[in-house]
Amino acid sequence: MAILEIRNLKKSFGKLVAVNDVSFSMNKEEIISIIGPNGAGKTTLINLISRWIKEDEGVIKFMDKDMKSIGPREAVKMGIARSFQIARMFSGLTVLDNVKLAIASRKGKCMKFLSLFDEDKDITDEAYTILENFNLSKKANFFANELSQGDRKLLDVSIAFSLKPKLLLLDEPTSGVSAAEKTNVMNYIVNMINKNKIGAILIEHDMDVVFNYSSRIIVMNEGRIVADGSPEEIVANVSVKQIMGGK
Amino acid sequence: MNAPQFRRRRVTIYMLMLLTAIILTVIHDFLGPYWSYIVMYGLTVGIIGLGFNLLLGYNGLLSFGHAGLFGIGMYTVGLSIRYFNIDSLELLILLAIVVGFLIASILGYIASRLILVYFALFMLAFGQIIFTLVYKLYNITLGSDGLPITVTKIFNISFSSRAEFLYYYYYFVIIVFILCTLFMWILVNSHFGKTIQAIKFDDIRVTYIGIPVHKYRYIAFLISALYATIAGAIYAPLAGHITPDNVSFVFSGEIVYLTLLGGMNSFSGPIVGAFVYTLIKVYLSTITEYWQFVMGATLIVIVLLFPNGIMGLVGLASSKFRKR
Repeated sequence: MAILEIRNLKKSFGKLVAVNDVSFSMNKEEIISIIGPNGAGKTTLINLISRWIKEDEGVIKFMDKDMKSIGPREAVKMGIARSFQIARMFSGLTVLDNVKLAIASRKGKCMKFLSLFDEDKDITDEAYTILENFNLSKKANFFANELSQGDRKLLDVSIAFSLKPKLLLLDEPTSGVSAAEKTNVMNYIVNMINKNKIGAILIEHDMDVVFNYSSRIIVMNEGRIVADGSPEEIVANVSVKQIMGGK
Repeated sequence: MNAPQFRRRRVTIYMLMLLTAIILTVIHDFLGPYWSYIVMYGLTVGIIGLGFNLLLGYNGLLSFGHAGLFGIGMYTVGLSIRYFNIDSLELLILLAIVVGFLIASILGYIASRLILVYFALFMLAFGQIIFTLVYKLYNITLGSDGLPITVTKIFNISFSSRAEFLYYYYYFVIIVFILCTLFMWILVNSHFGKTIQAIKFDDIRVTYIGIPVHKYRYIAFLISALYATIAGAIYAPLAGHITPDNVSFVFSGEIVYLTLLGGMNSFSGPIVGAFVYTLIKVYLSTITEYWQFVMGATLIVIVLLFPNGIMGLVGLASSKFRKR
């Protein structure tokens, strides 16, 4: 069953057409990588799916629901979570509090005025379980701004996972991460994706990451999809090689 | 901080609040009328500081218009006495809370959509509008002549003189201060409190965990405004005579000053700042008419050298002491 269906999507910024007539559908538990040169429209596509921006034309359907009137907050409630190219987190809060807050939001607890956050055992226990899965539990009491780049990326994804999404959007999860950390970061993320049986769309420039972890690859160039297939099919595609500059 | 550590901290904080209330009560008779007045003023300014810091320290919003909200509380009390002959303190404060709530709920609708300099300037403009109204509407507010405040009843107990009223009013101010402090401490440590802190660090991330940022900013603004209004309502009977001076942007600046002085990153910062500010003001104004110059100079020193204020220094000293 398709969890995400995109039809003839178009988005322009002035004269620049960032996403042009993009159509694809995505099944549950698929891990799709979107690749392409800078300016291909990858991040715009993620921003459209996560509802940060609205499309000019076309349709996005998530779980069979038209997303036209849906904003980013409602998209989260529907089950779309995302991470960011530059990891977004609450830098002055501890790693534990970052994750706890996302859980509290999911459980509708954030509007509680008189119950003490640090004494909420329910969300603390769940947060530790999530942090354990991302190997961050030992750093639970670190402030988020004290983490290494790799751990920041993991925390960003942990926050997204705390929302129990059905679809996870990952905008360059290994950008800025050292080569030594990259595999670890991706292993933790993909393990959690598989364990939770959710779908993920990944934007990535590192081709090792793309080909090792994706079940399907979509190649974009100048706002359009130029290829869509399994990693093996994409490797064999000559026009993809030309676009990606032989990467 | 884990739950047992936090529980111990919570008990310590509650005990400290109780101890503060007991000490202030016990020393009352030793203080005499003058110093009792100073303590009451410090507590009143502490209340507005707590509310102000909910926005600045916890939500990252700098308001230059809290004097306007303070003025709403002050003038609601003053005008209610003048035009409706209300002499019951609790009713006057309740009226001030209602009026403050109504104005803040409209103001907050716009304010919660603004951040950074836009928020600061919007609040400055609001403060100046309130100042201009109380200053220029002479027929209603008596302008710069000010309004006399004669409250004679607390919980239906009448007082024969202002001195007698102020003697018992001291206890009333302590109770309000402790309640405001207790509520604020719970609030900033609640789920809501943690959420508004998160908004300060990254409002886009907050949106992407499914939280409506404006709604939380709006509620934080409302609570902050109510603290300022309550402080204004308490100040009016204490002063006995209110003028537009405490509605001007200078007073808004003093609220910023005391918060930075005490430390905006600490819960107790604004309270400590309120008392130090009160003492500096009282002491300096007796020796020089340029006392505001000295306050300005100290503010520069604080911002440049001690960005976490007095409580930041205390925290630094205690952590060094523990390491020894």
